[in-house]
Amino acid sequence: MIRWRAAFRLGLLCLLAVLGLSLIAEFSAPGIAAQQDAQRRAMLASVLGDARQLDDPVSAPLQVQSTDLGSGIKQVWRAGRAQHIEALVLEASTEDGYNGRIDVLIGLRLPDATRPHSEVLAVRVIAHHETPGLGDGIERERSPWIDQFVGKSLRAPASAQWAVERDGGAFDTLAGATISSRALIELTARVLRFVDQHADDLRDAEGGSRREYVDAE
Amino acid sequence: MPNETLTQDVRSGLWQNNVGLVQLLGLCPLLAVSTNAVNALALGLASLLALLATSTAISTLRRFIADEVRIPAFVTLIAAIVTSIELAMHAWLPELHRVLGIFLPLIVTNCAVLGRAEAKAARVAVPRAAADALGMGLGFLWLLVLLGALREVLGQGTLFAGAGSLLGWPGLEMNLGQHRWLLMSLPPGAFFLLALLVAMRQKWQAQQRTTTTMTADTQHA
Repeated sequence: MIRWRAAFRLGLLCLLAVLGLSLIAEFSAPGIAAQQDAQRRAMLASVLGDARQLDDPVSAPLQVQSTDLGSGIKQVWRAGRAQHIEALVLEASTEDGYNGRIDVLIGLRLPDATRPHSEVLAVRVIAHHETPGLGDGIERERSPWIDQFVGKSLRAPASAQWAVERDGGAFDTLAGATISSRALIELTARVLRFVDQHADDLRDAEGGSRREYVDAE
Repeated sequence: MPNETLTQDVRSGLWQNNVGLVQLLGLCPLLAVSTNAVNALALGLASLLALLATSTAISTLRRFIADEVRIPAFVTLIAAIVTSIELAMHAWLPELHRVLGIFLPLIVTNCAVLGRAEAKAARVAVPRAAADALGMGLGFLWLLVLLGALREVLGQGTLFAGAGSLLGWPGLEMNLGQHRWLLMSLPPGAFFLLALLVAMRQKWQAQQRTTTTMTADTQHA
């Protein structure tokens, strides 16, 4: 008899917990959504570098699928003045981090008459599992390491130089985190190559549309 | 008299029964998150908050929770309360959530929380349960911050790095030279330093005991 009462009370407690949680989830959902939206906006501004004065990144991002940007569908925001798109912010990811996946946002200026290659405005890591104290230096808050990409394109340094010093490249290694450094350098180069190749298409695509790019190889 | 009991409850957690130094509970977050002082402070505060909330709730419901199923009941309550805190913080205290957010879910796994529920909160009235949680939480907090500060100073040559962007107190940030003792930033460093702190406390305790008993025989001091 006693056992039944215990079970009943436990069930009641669970029900109470579920009710309470759903209530709080329901009430906090709009706040959390607004919060995430504000965070995304701030994030976009942070990778647009000196291009942040451009009009707001076009609200409807492209949904792009390409192995160059990483697995899954990536959003690509476009920023420009008077319908002329000058800069992109791309989501990209690599699985080559020390502890797996690293997600980044890359802001870059598109090629134009004076600039044959797209140029990095800024790179920011938005999610990673790198080792605290070592690999987490890829976060801008912890180390300025990631700023070395600013202003770089596939012409300067040359495409083959997109590697860490140890591999004969032009980029510094984050102390104690060669693998994390290598992963981010390779990812950035891959994204630049992708944008150089598809710049016109990305510029002209209809806002919000879905694009799929298959590897040229 | 009741006030004395409450003070004793708080003090017990700070030193005599310190979660990390004596009970050696909650080591998983303690060792994992003490890589720098700011992270340690954030996790310590989040744990304190969660301990207070869960102990108070469990003490309130202690007569309702049947003895046979108390552990599942505690776990349900702790998980629900911590998740609620996390959701509410995310929506209404976004700045704080940015600092504590990733640590909050970790707290559910902190056995110190379940430990306090079982050892204290389920057995005493609400004020004592809250006092106990406050003591235990503060005890965990100071140990975490001490460990985090030691590891940061030795491993990275900084103290409270990131306090400006995370806590809004840039004045706290200190740069203490170029040395880097990498081992201290890695997990083994956490074990070494915690072991050292535990040993130091044991030694101190042993000395206290011999001086208070005042025995002539001091060989084992």
